[in-house]
Amino acid sequence: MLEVDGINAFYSDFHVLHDASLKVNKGELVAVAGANGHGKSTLLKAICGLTPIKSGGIRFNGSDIAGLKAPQLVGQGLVYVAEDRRLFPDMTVLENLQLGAYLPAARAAEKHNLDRVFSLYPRLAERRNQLCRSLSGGEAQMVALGRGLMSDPTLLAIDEPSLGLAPNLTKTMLQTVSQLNKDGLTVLIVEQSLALLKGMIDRVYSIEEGVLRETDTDNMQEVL
Amino acid sequence: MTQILEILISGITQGAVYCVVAVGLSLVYGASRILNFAHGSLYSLGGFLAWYLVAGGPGLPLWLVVLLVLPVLALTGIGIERAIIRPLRGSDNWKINTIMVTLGLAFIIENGLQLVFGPGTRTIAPFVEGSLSVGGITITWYKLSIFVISLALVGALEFFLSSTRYGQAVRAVSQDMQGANQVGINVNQIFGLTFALSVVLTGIAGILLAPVFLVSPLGGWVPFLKAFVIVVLGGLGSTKGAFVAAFILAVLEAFVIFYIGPSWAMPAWLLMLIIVLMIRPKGLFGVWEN
Repeated sequence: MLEVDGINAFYSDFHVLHDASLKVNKGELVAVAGANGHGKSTLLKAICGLTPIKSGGIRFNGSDIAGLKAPQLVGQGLVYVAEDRRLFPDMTVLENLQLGAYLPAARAAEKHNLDRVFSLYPRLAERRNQLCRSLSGGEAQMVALGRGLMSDPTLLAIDEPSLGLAPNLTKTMLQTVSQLNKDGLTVLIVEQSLALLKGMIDRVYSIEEGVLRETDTDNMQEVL
Repeated sequence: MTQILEILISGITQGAVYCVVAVGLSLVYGASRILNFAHGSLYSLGGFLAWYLVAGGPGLPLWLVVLLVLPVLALTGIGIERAIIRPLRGSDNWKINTIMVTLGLAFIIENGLQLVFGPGTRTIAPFVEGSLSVGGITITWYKLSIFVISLALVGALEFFLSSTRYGQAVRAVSQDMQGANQVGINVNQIFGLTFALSVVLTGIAGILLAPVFLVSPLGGWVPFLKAFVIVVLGGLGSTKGAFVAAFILAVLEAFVIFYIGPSWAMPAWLLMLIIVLMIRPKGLFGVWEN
């Protein structure tokens, strides 16, 4: 479904990603693990068209998407959920979710997806008219994931959902992601700590100083 | 008492038109963090276009002129964003650069107007004559009409921002640009849209005020300065703030003009601005974070 082939990305002059290659098959939950500052987020942002790449190829559902910007990719079903949430603080929970379904394709499924998000997170239904500025970290992460689902993704790229969350909240969040995956959503997730993802993922890559390597899921702990 | 009421009414009616100019400036700033220094010149442009079509050449009725000028103003806004703003965004010093180019654009528009229409002032006859008297208070029908039209314009903008898809997208872009990208909003398109709306608003205000304040090539600087003070007082980028600040300052202006003199109006505004900013540095409704 997603094939990343030897991409290179820079953060101003700094060479972040070195010939990074990775593959995600339909229905898989694939993780990228690595310490902070090794290029995990840049990798995800580069795939999702939020950061430019210098060279290399990216194919999504068989078509070349290298160089396309996020708004075009969202329409194709490749949706990014940011580590820092990136919610619209002065809008309500409902408005944030509705904006997830901004593009025509997602709008067609808006009602269905909204019901799905609200049944996944009844708490968001209760707080639908609350401004996102006033949400707790856990609730904000729910809205971030919910907004991603509203875009009607075929592949959801989730950037370090545990960031700033208490361990128990992270656990619930990852269980939700795992459930979504079992229901048929393809997921590419980036995390610092793989311990919590154990038993949920199909394949794992480790990233170190911008170099990506596929690793055995059993040896995951060793990697870290 | 009647006198005070009359001054108050004069201030409120004036406030509505200031509001139209100011929310236009604020809308663009809110979405793109760009301060459009040509906003006042575009106000003059609206006035001149209308004057030409009404009194200068074709002699068309004002309502038809407004309908004709609207798309011209909207396209002007889109053109400005496309031609001079977009190439600069993302450059290192885009904040200063966009100020410089919009300032340059202001000079080009002013000199263009001077070249075509000459340096003199023009006026458009009000579209309604006569006045309304209630309980000793008199107000011209014209002032009353532009008050209603202005409120309708600002109301329509508020409705657009709060209740439509594109309006939501404008607010989304102003609150988190990367977040907007992530959900599929074409940020360039939204910038174009805000410029179009902004130029329409200021241009229409220029037409509405032509019978009262006259139109001249350099006549846009006073409305620009006033809109700027209103926007800063209300809180940069907040249309609600601009709305409230426009009325506060217009009423203040009406009283200062009556009791002290017209030349004290602007100093009074700036004094007010200084006081408010000392207490609330973000302005009345400011929320900026970056």
